[in-house]
Amino acid sequence: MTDFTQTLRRRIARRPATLVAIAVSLVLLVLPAFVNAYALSSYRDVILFAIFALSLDVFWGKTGILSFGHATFFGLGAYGMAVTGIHFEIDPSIVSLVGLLAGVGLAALVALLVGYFILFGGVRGAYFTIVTLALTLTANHIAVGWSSVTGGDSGLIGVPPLVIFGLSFVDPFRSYYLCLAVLLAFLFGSIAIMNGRFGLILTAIQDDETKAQTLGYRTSLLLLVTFVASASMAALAGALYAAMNGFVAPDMIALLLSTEVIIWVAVGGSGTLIGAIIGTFVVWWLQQEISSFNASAWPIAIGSFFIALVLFFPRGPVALVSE
Amino acid sequence: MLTDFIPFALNAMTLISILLIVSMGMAIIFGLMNVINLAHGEFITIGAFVFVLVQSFGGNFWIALVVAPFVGYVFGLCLEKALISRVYSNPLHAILVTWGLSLILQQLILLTFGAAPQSVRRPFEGSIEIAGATYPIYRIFLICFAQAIFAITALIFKKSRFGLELRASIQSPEMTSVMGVDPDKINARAFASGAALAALAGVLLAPLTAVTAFMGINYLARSFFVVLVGGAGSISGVAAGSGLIGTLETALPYQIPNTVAQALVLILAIVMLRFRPKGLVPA
Amino acid sequence: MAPLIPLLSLQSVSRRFGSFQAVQDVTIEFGPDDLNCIIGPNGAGKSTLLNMICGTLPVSSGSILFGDHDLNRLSRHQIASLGSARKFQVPSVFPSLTVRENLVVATGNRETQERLSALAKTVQLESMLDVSASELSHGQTQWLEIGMALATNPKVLLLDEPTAGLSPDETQATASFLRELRGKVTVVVIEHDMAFVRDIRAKTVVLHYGEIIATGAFDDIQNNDLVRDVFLGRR
Repeated sequence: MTDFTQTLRRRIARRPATLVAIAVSLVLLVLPAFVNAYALSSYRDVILFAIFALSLDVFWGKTGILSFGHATFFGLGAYGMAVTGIHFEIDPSIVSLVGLLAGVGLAALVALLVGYFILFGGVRGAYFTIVTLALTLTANHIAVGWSSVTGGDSGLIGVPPLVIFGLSFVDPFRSYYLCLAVLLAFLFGSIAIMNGRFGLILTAIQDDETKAQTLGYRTSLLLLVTFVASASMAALAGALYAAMNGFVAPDMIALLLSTEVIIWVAVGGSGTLIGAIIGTFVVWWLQQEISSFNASAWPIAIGSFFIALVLFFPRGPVALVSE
Repeated sequence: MLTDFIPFALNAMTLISILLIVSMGMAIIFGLMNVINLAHGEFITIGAFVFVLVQSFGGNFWIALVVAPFVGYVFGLCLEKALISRVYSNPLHAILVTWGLSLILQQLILLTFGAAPQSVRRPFEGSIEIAGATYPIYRIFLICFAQAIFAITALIFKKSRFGLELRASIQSPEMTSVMGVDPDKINARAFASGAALAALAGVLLAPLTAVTAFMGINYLARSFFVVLVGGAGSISGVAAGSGLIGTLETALPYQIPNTVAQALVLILAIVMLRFRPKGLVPA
Repeated sequence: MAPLIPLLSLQSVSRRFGSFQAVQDVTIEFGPDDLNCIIGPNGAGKSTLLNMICGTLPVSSGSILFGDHDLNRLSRHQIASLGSARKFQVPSVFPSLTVRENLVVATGNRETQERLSALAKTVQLESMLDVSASELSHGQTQWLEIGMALATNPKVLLLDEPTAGLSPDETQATASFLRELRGKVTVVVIEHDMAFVRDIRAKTVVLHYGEIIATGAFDDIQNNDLVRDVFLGRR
């Protein structure tokens, strides 16, 4: 081990965000002891959304480019899992794995194609955001319109429950811990990578992409890799969500979901990684409270949040919306 | 053959004409002022609902045609003062603010008018015969009217004092204020004009489609595409973009399912961005 | 003994902007590990020339050979990987990162702490390694940028006005570490500050209206009548 990696390790341990991440992990590990089985299923879903939020932060938080399209990837993961499980006759012992591969693969492919064209075309910033917005709109239209495959407006039910290597994950405890394991793996993996050299390079690209290029970095490629990795993470969360809840619906691949995940990340602080997870839990709890008043109350609350964020906290301590 | 082609061409022209008006507003706001306004679709919705209101008070299409742009203009002015003027330098903030606004507006309209689609009365019922095919009169009217509005707006832009001041103030706000022109006022008027155009489009669109709180969002993406593909900041770009996207969206569903057609238009826009980032007809 | 192949060779290079001829028929050879300087009054075409050498600007005619690679066919990052590194006129470093992190990003390979410290020492920043780049003084930012350029182990180092905005002390420090680079890397410096140019004892090329009017050691150039006239504004 060179002294270079030694220094890195020391620095990872010293960062406060890492300590918070460890604390949050411990809380989530012991959570099942304090809640009943039904609530546990809800928490499991929140964990999947937290993975989704983490995936957005890995891209947005580090490159500074906002994606309005992440629900497309979550949805592709979910629909990929559902369609493989329902429309094809696959051996029940491997259908979940095939579904995971299908969902993640499809999302990665879309991210690769769209990302390649846009990023290598030099598109950054706001134009990128608009294209991802259009992507989600289109994906949603397809999900609603192609009813023979996707079940249209009502979606599909009967997604086979998750079975991996002979282990079934129907039981709430098992499914909770599986999702938690995935979350923690992604969380600490992302922290390690983003605190290391790759993260430095992404920050450098965000500071001054031309300078990074003159140093020899293929910036568009690096951004594309980050985008595809982020999309795959989101898709995995979506695929697990579909398998564990047994159904998919077009609101899993909708613009509203894309805006919600932006809020989860923004509330926790974009770029901090652990913040995305905390933000998801906080906002989820808020949403439970607010939606119970009125179905319109939540979108209005989100809209007001966005406006307040820009008007009052453009660089706020809680919500860091990076430029 | 001709009897099939004429309705197709006229359908394409209808879509192109609507896109022209909607995208004109977007070209001013996004192409010239560089503001990403995700609430642009809601201006259309507002125009359509003004028509609904006017009708419920006993008015008709023609009254709505005058009232709606006026409402749009005033609304645009207020919005610009309250929100938009704060986000000129930050596209990300513009996205968040206008998206938040869009969410709120949709819900407010939903709460006020309910979820059921509204219907409005066309000013012209019936069809006429063109070379053996029959086609609704209203659509023919829409095509002619929209193109006239487009031409007038283009003229105002290129030849009038306001157009000149706007273009100058975007190029260099400091210089224009030195010359005694107030860039803040210009910005407000430009944004409001964009809103007025969209509201006008809403009135024209209302007799053709289901008037709901969420009708605007489809035109949001399309008008961005038109401006991106055609060329931000140029009038002929808007025409080129509208022509291309309108024709494609009308032609493709004849051969392939609607959803695939929409995906193809998206793919086209993305590919265009890659290879011709300045659009078909750059400024 | 193998013949000295010029590392960087410009042949009849010209560059036009519309009707304005910025650089006219320039032919120079830069040998390996030399310290070279390009001087000339404002608008002489120095920056344009530098831009063409590092690939940000294409030539209008003529060719630039780096070793035996024709720069005309390469992209910016390909040129960078050939081994040319540049410090820009307006210093650009990564303000969100510390000095150490800037150097890490610049090195491109896994580097040991010793190598990073040595680099920092060369550009007089060894005590500032963990300071954020946004907190550096103007002079220190210039040095960091030179340090980052050196970190890529370039064969050619291109410096565009490295002493712009520097205090006299900082200018002297810059001259001394540039002198130490002689024999380790080919350096091409564009400068205005004549005292500095004399201090680093470089081979000098004088540009005027885009053309070369003199080359040689600085002392010879100084005594050249034509050059003197140009600098005194008589031509």
